[in-house]
Amino acid sequence: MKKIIKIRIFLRSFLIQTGWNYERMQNVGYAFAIFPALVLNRSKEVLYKALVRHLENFNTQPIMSSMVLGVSVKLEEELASREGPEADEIEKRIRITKRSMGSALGAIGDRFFWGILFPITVGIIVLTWQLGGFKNWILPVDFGSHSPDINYYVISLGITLSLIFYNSFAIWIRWRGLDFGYKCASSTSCGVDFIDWHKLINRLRVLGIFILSLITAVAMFVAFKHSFGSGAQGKIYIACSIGVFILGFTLKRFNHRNVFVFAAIAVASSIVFLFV
Amino acid sequence: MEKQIIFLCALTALLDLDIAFVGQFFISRPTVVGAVIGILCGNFLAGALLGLWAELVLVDHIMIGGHIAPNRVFFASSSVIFFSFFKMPIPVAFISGFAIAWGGVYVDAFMRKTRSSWGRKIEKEAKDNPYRINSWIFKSVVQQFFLMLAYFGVGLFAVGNIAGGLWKHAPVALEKGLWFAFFMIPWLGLGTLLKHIRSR
Repeated sequence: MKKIIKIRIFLRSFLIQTGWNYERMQNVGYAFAIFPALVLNRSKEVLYKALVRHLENFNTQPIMSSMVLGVSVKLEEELASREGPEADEIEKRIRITKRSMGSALGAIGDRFFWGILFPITVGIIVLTWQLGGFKNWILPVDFGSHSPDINYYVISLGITLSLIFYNSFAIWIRWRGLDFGYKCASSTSCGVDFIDWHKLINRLRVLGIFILSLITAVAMFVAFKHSFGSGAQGKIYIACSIGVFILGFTLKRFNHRNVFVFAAIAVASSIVFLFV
Repeated sequence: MEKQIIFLCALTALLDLDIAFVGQFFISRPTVVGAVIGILCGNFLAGALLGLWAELVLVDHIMIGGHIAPNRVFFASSSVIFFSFFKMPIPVAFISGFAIAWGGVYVDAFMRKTRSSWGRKIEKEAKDNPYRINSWIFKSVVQQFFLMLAYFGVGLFAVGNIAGGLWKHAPVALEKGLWFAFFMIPWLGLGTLLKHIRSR
């Protein structure tokens, strides 16, 4: 793949979800992203046929789509140099490959980005705040305050680090995935073996569990320390905090919505406050 | 004040594009949006914390396939604006923000439905000029931006005035209950996150 084409497809792949619709999902964004490769050495009629081919139903995890794009570019190049039944065969392969890769990579991508990277980035924000001495994320705070005790740089640093962490994976996979897809176009497991996903996901999961467990332990310690000596009210606060933590952990299994749990806590505690 | 709010609405609609439309750089995550809007409103601390809590409440809503989660950007941004400009107490600003985020689901679903016929339209147009695909993408981005801007602006003033008015008549117990539930969010979020990452 020519460098300039690769760069153009890479940049356009950031808009793959633009035009997402219920009928054909990412079709418009996908056709737009692959367009620079389709235009090369084609008559208007052939270009039209190629564009229609890529306006068919397609959906995958947006970042992982670069691998499918790489494979499609390679197959489109092959198609441009063939005629007759051979060309029909490649056309069929493009359709099948897109569909099968889209589903497989969608499943891996959703697990990787939403299931693993996202919780870790939340962990990075909170851990940085905690290490920087900013404890107000867990303790009651005066929101209007501009206290000199609050380190605004630490708050910003946590947010920035989480963005760097997430995007270093996302942008790297987008860029390298294009190349990888292009090179492995003939392989049946193309994309799935881009990285040892299983190993990477497992390692990151361990890292995530470590970060989140550490945060939980420190948060409980801070809350205990804060409530120590503050009488019955402090003890109730600690008991409720631990109870809600266990509730969140347990209810996740039943696919509960946090917002409904929040509403239930608000209603229950309002009733309690009504009588206390 | 109105000019400032309109600017913040435009910025919010712009950041909203990052959720799915343009980039997916994660700058649409509530903590980032809350902090940015917080800085502009002069309430950085409230912005960052409201953002983090919005994130923890929505941690179980994942945009996979056709599922549309409550709009995270609207949630964080409107909560901070309600607190800063409408002078709502934090928990009320938070709940009102969620109402706007929830409404965003229906607007987004409407837009997705509207675009369903685009594939056929582009196919028709491409016969004469295949390069028209570029303008469809441009149209899609502009349409999303302006519709979301309109929804957010109208929603902000409507919910802000209604919730602000109702809140004055709310019993004290409800206020205390909301504050309590509000401070439980980090614990609820941590529990959910830990289970979320442990699941295979």
